[in-house]
Amino acid sequence: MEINRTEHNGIVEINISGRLDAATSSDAESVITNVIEENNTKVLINLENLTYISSAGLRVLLVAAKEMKAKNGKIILCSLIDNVKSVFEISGFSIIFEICDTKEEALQKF
Amino acid sequence: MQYCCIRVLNKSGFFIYIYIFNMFGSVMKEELKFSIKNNVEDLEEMNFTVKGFLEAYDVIDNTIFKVNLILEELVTNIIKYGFKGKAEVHDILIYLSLKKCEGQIYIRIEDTGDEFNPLYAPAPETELPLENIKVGGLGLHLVKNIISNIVYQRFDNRNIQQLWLKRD
Repeated sequence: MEINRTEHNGIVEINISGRLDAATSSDAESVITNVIEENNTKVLINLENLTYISSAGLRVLLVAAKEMKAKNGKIILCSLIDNVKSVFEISGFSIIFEICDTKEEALQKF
Repeated sequence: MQYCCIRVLNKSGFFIYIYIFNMFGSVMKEELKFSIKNNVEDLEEMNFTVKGFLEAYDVIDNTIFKVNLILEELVTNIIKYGFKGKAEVHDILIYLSLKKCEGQIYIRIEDTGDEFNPLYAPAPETELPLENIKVGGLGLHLVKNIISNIVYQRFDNRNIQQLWLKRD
């Protein structure tokens, strides 16, 4: 798993690539928590290169969504591959999160 | 005795060898049996072993993703909750077969941890307002929704979980 952050026009983009699972989720959690604690209220999580996610990964995103809601901020996810998308659908997380097909579409929603 | 051997490169750069033995006929038994310890660190090795085995039999990526998810969720549950208060290391047995059931992958997981019947676990309530959603039970909910059948038995102080997954 690799995670990195960039920022443009007040929107923080977090890119997570590889596997977000029981072994890697705590690393991802600390990066995302940092971004939220810095009082960023517009966060785009780009999952274009995420090849695998399990419930441990979903848990990290849910925690982030809760923290963000408490700060009246917004998290948008984008560019999920089909297998990852079906995990979101089965778990009901596609209702909890705002998910866009492309990064361009997501950026317009902030 | 005939056998076939699959060589898989693991994450540390070492080759691991999976031997598939066939004592009775010319058709290879398309099965994999191995064990891991109840450590989260062993999950990566497990995924690697399973991926190598399934790829060797031309199982497509979609199905490999699902097998991976099933094993991670169930084995993580065993590691986290099955051996509470027991300091010693335990084995978790994993068995996969592509032949046991036509068009399906058969998965069996056995452990000597505390009794736990996955069929009784409640599904998470994701329709609640965001702040009230709890994530417990999410892994099992995912597993139950991608498999075609699950059977649980408690036998000889072991949890035996048998699952059937339709091949894509």
